[in-house]
Amino acid sequence: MLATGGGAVPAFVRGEEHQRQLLIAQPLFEEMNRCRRFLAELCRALDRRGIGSTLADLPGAGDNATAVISLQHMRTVFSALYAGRSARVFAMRGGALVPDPDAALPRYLYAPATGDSLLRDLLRAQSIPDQERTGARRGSGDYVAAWQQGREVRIAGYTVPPELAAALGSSTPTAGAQCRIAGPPPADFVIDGPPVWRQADPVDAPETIEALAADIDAWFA
Amino acid sequence: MLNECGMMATAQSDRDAAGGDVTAQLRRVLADVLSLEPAVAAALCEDSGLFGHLPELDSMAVAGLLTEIEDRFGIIIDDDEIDGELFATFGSLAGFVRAKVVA
Repeated sequence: MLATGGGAVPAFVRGEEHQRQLLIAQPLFEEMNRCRRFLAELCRALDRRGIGSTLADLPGAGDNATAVISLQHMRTVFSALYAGRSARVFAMRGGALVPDPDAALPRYLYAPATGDSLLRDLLRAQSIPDQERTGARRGSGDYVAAWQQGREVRIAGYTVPPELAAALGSSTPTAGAQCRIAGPPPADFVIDGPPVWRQADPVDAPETIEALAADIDAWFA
Repeated sequence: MLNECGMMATAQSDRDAAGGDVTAQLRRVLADVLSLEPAVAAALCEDSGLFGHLPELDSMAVAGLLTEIEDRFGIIIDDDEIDGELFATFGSLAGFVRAKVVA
């Protein structure tokens, strides 16, 4: 566990002895689970190249028992992880929405996702099984209405408070001068690996991981 | 050159409006999201059964597949457009996507 201003954060730290350190902003919701293995392998590949990494579970995610209040809440906890350190950030998918957009922080974004598309995906993950089970077309209207009434909702196993839904609805990944984007075009580093975040049964992607690690290595020179 | 479906895969048909492109792109989307064997993906044609026929396409996979289709084709799929018929065959899905792309 890592101690931060806001309490302990479960985290895997690898390669602490390296000069170069990367903080990992993981994908959100179910994508985090699907990308867990990918990121674990990426951290190993980075370690082999002399780059240490911190893979932390933010509030509302993974093994972090603290409930998430809002995107700002996640952002604050994440910021505490790099306070006082000269680390860079690697963000994957919705993780790109987490680092403070105003922080002068070099960030590497892999396949960044907009908050809106993540929200639609989450709502759909609930409404399709709902429909299967009940035969009725529930749709996302009910959940949207709940948020508008200031109520949190439980979607596909995730508790989503209205502040988080609102922030996601309007968030796009922050780029900036010290930002490098990898993924399908348009990207600084075009890489076409398997979309493990979409796969119910994610495949191994050793070539994609090696290519990313090499590009990060060069970026972090 | 004939592909698995006995269709002429010529440069002309590839350039045919959105039609040929959608079919090829959709095969790639299904292959990527469902981790299909290349041979299985290449064999998908209009009459190929999807839901209930492709074991990889279960209800857990449907949501992710729809979102990936939205992202790759730049379209939005509303809740009320999703019904059992959409994933009946590769043809029904491709037809749906084609109509959305041109709209």
